[in-house]
Amino acid sequence: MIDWAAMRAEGLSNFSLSVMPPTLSLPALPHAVTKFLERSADESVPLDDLARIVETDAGLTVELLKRVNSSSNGLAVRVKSVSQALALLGRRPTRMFLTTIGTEGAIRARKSKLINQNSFWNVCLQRALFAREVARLLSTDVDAAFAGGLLQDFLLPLLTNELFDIYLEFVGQGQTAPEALAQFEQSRFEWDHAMASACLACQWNLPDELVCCILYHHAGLRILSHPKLGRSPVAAAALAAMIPDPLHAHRGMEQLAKLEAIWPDFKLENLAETVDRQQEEAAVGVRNDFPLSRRVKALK
Amino acid sequence: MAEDFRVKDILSLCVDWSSISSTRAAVDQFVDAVDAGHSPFDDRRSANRKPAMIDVIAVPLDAEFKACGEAFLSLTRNISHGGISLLCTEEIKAPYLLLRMEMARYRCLQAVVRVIRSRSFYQFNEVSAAFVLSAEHNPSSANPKKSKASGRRGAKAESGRRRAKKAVAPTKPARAI
Repeated sequence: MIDWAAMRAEGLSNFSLSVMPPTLSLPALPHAVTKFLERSADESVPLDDLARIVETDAGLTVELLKRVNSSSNGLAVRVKSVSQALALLGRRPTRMFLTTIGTEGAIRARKSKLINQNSFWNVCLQRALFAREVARLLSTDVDAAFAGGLLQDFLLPLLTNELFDIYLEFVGQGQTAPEALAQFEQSRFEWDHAMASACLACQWNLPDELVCCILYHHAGLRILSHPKLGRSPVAAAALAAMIPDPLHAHRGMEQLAKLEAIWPDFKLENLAETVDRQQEEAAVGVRNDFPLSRRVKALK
Repeated sequence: MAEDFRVKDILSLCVDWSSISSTRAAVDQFVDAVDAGHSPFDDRRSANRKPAMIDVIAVPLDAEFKACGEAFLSLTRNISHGGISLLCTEEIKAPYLLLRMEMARYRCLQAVVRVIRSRSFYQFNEVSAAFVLSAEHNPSSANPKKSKASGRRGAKAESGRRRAKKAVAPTKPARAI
């Protein structure tokens, strides 16, 4: 059993958002999500009370019903109420789901001069699906891995917009190591987007395992050798972070290909095909111009 | 049954085999960044040791800087601009080690060290080693500074440094594990 709160405290150490530029306006989670996260932490709160909180936000209600009625759940009857959905999904998976929906909504509402939001969230979804498949191989929490894959870079559109000139300098450098962006941020700001995002996620009362997924997502392959985190959703999210994104085209895929040679169950081509299929099924309304399987084939 | 990975194979993948050794500047930068408390060492060494506990991936190398054993995890006891002391559970017989150290938040150093001695320390082995620096970008190798150490110990250290300079790491090893 991992003490996630201790891992989070150790990783964040004394970091606080106050070291970030005061001009930076950080996003806020939708009120219903914040309230749901607060109340659902208490196991004694009845599901009906939690359902009423979700129902105050029409967008969240629709997304939750869509999620529970999706073909992957294979339900014989259609779920029509939020309380039914909560009972079927369970508290923890619902917390994870609403967290991802709420965070994505909060960031999408903001403009970014450097990052195309549609391409960005396409890669985030790709990473989330990949993290979920890796979590299955590691026999760990697939929901936390999915959320970790989706939200690991959630603050980047905002940071790159507000600190445009500095991030533009990084883009011009053409660095190829997966952790280069975080190294660049450390050298320029003495903090990086993983720390800032994790700290904000912590302030939002997001689950500690999700905060850790965000905080350690640039740990690279080495995370698999970690005695505690090596078999956790954090490792799955860190492997998913090796998929390059439009802001930073790095050599992460090459490292994942090397992993295939020493981990017989990790079949990159099969994983990529599964991720592409699931991404197509998710039908987010944006064409995926960079299917993962094409990237894997390009390695050969 | 699921086919799993071995942690030792993962460690080996984490090493950048394209350029195994480090320059003097890279070592100095890393050692300077090590956040050490008050040093308990009161000795006459030319390079002061900083007590530090950093996770290290180590790969045994032979005299030609080729991997000659499996990668393993160890922990630093102390580090200085000249060398490093490690604790590990493996018995070290290789003349050199390739080390990859990562401090918190992406500061990392990869360097080859020459094993000076290995002795048992409680249930561990303590390895003392000196950095072997890459010849390129190493102005100190062309124009060495005068050692502060004097007497027999200073002469011994100087001859050690000369041996280390002879053993300059190649930029590319012949093969990985």
